[in-house]
Amino acid sequence: MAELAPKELFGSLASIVGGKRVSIVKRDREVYARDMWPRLLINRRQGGELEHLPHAVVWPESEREVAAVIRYANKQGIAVIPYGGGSGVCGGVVPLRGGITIDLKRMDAIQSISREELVTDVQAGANGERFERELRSKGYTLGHFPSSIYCSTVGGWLACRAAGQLSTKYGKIEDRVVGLTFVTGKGEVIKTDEFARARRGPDWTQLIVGSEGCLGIITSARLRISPAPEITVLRGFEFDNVQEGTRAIRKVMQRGLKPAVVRLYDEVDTFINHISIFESHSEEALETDGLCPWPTKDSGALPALPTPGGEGTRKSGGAGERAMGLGRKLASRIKHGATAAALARPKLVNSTFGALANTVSNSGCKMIIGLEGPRLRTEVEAQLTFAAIERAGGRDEGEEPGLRWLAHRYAVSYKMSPLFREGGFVDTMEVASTWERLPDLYESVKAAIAAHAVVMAHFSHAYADGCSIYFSFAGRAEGLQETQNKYDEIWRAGMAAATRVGGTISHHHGIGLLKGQAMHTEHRESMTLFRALKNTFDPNNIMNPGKMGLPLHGEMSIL
Amino acid sequence: MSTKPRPALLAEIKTIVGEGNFSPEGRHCHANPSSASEVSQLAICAAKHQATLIPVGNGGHSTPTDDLRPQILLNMRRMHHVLYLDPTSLVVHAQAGITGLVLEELLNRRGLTLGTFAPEGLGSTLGGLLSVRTPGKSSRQHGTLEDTVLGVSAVLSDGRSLHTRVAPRRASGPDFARVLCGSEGTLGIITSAHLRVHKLPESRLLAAFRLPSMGDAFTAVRLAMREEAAPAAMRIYDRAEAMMHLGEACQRDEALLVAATAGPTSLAACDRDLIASAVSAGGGKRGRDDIAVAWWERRTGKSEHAAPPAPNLQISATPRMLGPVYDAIVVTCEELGVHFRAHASRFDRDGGVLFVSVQGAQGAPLSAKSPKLQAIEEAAESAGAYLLGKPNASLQRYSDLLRDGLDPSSVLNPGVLR
Ligand SMILES: Cc1cc2nc3c(=O)[nH]c(=O)nc-3n(C[C@H](O)[C@H](O)[C@H](O)COP(=O)(O)OP(=O)(O)OC[C@H]3O[C@@H](n4cnc5c(N)ncnc54)[C@H](O)[C@@H]3O)c2cc1C
Ligand SMILES: Cc1cc2nc3c(=O)[nH]c(=O)nc-3n(C[C@H](O)[C@H](O)[C@H](O)COP(=O)(O)OP(=O)(O)OC[C@H]3O[C@@H](n4cnc5c(N)ncnc54)[C@H](O)[C@@H]3O)c2cc1C
Repeated sequence: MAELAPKELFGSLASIVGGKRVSIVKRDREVYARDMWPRLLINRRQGGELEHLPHAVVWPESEREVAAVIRYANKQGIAVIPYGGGSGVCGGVVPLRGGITIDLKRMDAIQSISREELVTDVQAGANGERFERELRSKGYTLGHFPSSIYCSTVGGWLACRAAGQLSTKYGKIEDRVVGLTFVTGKGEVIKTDEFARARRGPDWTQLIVGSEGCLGIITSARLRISPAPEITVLRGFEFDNVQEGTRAIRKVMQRGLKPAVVRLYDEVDTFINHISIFESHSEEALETDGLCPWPTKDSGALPALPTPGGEGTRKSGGAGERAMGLGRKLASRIKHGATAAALARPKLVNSTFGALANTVSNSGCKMIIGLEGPRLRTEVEAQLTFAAIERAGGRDEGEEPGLRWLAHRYAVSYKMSPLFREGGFVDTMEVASTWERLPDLYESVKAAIAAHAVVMAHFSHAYADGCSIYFSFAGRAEGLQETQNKYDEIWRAGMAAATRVGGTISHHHGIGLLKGQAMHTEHRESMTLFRALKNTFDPNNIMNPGKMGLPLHGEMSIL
Repeated sequence: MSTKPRPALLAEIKTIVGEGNFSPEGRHCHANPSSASEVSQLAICAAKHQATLIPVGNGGHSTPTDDLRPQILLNMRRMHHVLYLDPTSLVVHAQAGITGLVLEELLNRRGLTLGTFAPEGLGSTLGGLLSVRTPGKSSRQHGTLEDTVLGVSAVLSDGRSLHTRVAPRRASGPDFARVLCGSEGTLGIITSAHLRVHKLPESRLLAAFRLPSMGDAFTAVRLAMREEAAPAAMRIYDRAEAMMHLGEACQRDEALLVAATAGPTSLAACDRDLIASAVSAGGGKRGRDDIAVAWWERRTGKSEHAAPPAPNLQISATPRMLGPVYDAIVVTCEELGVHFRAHASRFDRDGGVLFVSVQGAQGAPLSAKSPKLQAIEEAAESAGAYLLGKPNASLQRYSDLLRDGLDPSSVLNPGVLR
């Protein structure tokens, strides 16, 4: 790329979208230089510099403008980075070669909702929560509820193959998409929303979904919607251990039942969750943290309808209570101040937590399970599901744990900020595999992370053939460089552990910059297919270069 | 003038696949590999000798092409092994040359099934079924076979083998298996696939319903599915087709709806009841169960009746458009003075498939080239239908580019999808 003269760049872009919708101001460029990748947050909290800035930011309002900007960039060899909500957690929007960041949020129209076909056409920049709210007001739902629903976009979901909390029923976003309008890296507009099944040749929609802006920009999508559920049924269960809990989920899924949500927390995650019930932050307290916007009560899109169910049967006891006290102190130290000591010795903390979790009377593993949909079928399915879970060894804890999860389901991510403030970091690793490999995946990834950080996990997003595991970990080291090194080592070890046992490196967060190397370990020769797609849509490598294991500069050979 | 395979090429093929698995025939040479590694060697050999490579499943023939290079017809049928059955995850890994029927039989013995696919669609090889996207062969409950794919193994034009990652779902890039599924052997040769399988249903309930018209029947199906009824299979017959397939008489515009619901008994019953209430909302009523039984026996190949002739028109439409498309066909056929009969099935979230048989004056089916059939196709298309089996014209250029990238010398199936 030739040296970019800012004024010239501004002029060219302004001639496409108008001067008000282009910026070359440093402050704007800094804002668009990053997403929610924890490595960048560490950097920011610890005073590091941003390494890469875009040369310009534009806010197009139509697919025509997007295409024109890309055509211009393609001619000049300037990189283009699509930007949705910036909620990605893998550094997907980092402008490694500078270039033009295209923020799609002004393209947020819901173009149509077809009641009879149960599909909607929506522009890529639509904010997730507003979109769902609009659908709800008309009696429909997309069924896609990522924890980031308040700060992510439809385009970002499709670009990353996102998953919502109710994906077990509704599927991931790739299961909800019928077709796309897409601007290629050459600035050409294509549509893949013809009745795909009727056409010969590959299913193009599925070749674009998940490409994270490396092939082009999704400008709108046709998505499947469902009638808003008439009822929601939630329940908590407890299992002796992870093995029994996962076996129960597998049985339910393989019987063809479709709960909307199943979450099984491992012993440590159960334990930490348990503690936070006793000393949970009040919503008011969190609202006052300027860095943590807090969803209000009415902002959850899902209504919770109570169902008849047993009372909670939480046990308490002498030794258990004492252990709980200890654990609470430890967890509280991690949460507030004194994190340094705890997080610097992850092995000790992991083993202490593990032991505590076992000591706490019958703590076992908690499961949240819920179904929703039309009344008749959901009731029948719920009876079958809960009975199957009980038969598989689950102890019914009534609906209360489920309702509690529902009420706080967007909250957990907002609790991370304090840890960064204390100089530590938190991140999540979401891997998946078939059921057969799941125990190996769980043990090996957990061990890989536990060597460096405090780690816990839950199993969510279940399928008849497998499940995903969501590891949360917290760590700390002295100084920016060491913290980053430790952070990198956790990811390197975790990804290697996942691929070694035949799991996938990502179930729904995507790849970005973070997992670029691991893409090659996972796909090996299949990367050939990705390179071929890249050359097909973006032969000059201007689209989000250097991401997803694709090269930063220049041409590449496919075969 | 087409080119015959040279002796050097033939000798090399023979070394790769062994004496009994190779036979030259004019410009073709049939080669029957037994493993992915042999397929890979054959690809390298084809490139070296400037020959083309045509994968052949159960079709047994290649698409005519004006490409004059010698052709290696890669008959996949020796690659017919189940490589692994994972009973915990309900996933089977099978080679591409096994037919759906053989695989289904093996699975059935273990209480498993590929899904509720009609056996008539499963005579093809796994490789053929995955390579050609045919909604005509899909199942209501389990989609097309490509929807059951967790991963594929394939050989590219340069002989390189690849295995896409096997996972229930991933967010590590686009779905690479889908590059190969549907590509009709033009981007790579599928050598094996990991497929999701299912437990045989605990119970299956069959029911038949009568509705005042085809339009009412389409609406009933749509309403039932909106209530999340998830039958294993469903079919709507018009009057002529009901008579032809089931020997069942209907009133003039009446439509016959048959459904199989399956799974845990209470859920299967619930699904059947949801369909029944959608039918009654549309002015229909329950029909005799033996009609549904006759349908199911025919569908599963247990009926003694001869199979009816294949339909000469297969079209898809979205749920809302199925009725208007059917009506457009009625009107056009009346105008043209031809008879037709139709049934619809393969209903899923996106729509369904209409199978139409059109006959000329003497009762013989109209040929594909008949102007009358073309007029009916046009009428259906303008009413909102999609004719099956057409390439996606608007994406042809990208298809070609992708193909040039993966197979620069156009070795694989040069006559197909151009
Ligand atoms: C608190 C929190 C909770 C989260 N919870 C979940 C969760 O429950 N489930 C889940 O799946 N993810 C979750 N995430 C991750 C993140 O929200 C998702 O990856 C989301 O899909 C990103 O959407 P976005 O609009 O913010 O995209 P961005 O972060 O703006 O972009 C992500 C990537 O997609 C590309 N991109 C964006 N828009 C387009 C477009 N229109 N066309 C082409 N490429 C584009 C970008 O270039 C970038 O590479 C969470 C993140 C946070 C911070
Ligand atoms: C466009 C089209 C639409 C069709 N629609 C229907 C339909 O709706 N209903 C119906 O009953 N039948 C349909 N058929 C016919 C046929 O039943 C299907 O194509 C079937 O899937 C073919 O399986 P087969 O084993 O007979 O393969 P073949 O007929 O031998 O091969 C089919 C195609 O796939 C390629 N192929 C075969 N094996 C492999 C492999 N392992 N790797 C890569 N490529 C391979 C072949 O080169 C060929 O191009 C259709 C065929 C075509 C071409």
